[in-house]
Amino acid sequence: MLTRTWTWTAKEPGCKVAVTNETDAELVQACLAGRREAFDALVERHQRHVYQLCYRFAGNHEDANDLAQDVFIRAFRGLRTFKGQASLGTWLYRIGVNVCLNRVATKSRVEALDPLMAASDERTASQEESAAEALLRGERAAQVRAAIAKLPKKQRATLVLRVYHDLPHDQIAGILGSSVGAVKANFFHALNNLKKLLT
Amino acid sequence: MSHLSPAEFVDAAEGALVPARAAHLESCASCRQQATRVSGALTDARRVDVPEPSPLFWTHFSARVREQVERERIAPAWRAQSWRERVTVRRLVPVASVLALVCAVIVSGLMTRERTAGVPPEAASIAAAVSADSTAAPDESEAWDVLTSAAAETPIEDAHAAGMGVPAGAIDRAVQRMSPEELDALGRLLQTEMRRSGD
Repeated sequence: MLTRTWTWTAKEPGCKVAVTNETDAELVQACLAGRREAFDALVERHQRHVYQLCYRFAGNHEDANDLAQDVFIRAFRGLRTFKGQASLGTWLYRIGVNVCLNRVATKSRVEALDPLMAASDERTASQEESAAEALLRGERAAQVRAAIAKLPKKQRATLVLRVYHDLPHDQIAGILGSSVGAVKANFFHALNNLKKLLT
Repeated sequence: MSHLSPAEFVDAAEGALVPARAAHLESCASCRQQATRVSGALTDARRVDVPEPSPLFWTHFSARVREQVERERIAPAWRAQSWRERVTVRRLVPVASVLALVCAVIVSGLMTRERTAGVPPEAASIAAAVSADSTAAPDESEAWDVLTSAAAETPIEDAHAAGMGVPAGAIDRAVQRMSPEELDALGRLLQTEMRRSGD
């Protein structure tokens, strides 16, 4: 039985790292043994990636927040089914993709598709950048985001996982339940369609 | 040499194309144009960042997940269940619903026929009217309440898994075989249900 104490240190926002170097598998076992705080540790460890995945699909903070919470709730409910063949991160991505594809398809994408609203949400401009440059960059980013939102589900999921989460093709294949060849073909079509939508 | 496949265009954009195919790409204008297109889309996609939420968001996210888990009183799938728990609650509901429906239809049919057999037409119509009246207030029937509540709580997936799906044309055939009194009673039932669902 695990008897370690749970202490935390904040290295960066959203990425609190346990002082104890528990692996995800150990934390899952602790959860299964009834230690709820172990699940808190897993949430803190993976929340940033899950949130970012959800944001890529939802296109706005509010929906991404709801979706990310939903992902973790479902993960908690299904923790027993996690067999550890893939990493916990991959498993969470799989849940996340399913939750996002199901939910986002039924919700209005007005915010995601509205370039002005999305552009106003861009906060990544450096201080040296002029206001005009920042605006242009924000608008371009909004256009790309809107174009990605228009891609077919599997193409969008493939592009998000590959480009923004840097997952290898075989891992994406595992998440989407397809072959590596199909993932690459989807990725190719996603990029091709993206180019068409942006020109 | 053949043109690059979609997967090879992806490899080219990611700098992972095998040398033999890279040589073709160098010499083929058509493939080069397509590769430029794909690489351009990839570059566009990579420029889009996820806006960073406030640090407070990360501080509270896991707390919200924890609260939601507690509030919903999630019964974890990993909680040890005895075979009685597993068998009696969820899985038997669709089966019991089907059995109850079948029994209700058979008993109703037999009772109507027994009442009308060998009875003068006038008496038969009165008996049928009485029978119809007795079914006119389904809300007062305990059996009906049990049946409808069980059916209402049964997810559609479980219903299909339990064979509750209706074969094509079965409803039409059943309605065609009904007597006028049975049709009248069915009409009343449907109206009652429609009124109730409209509340």
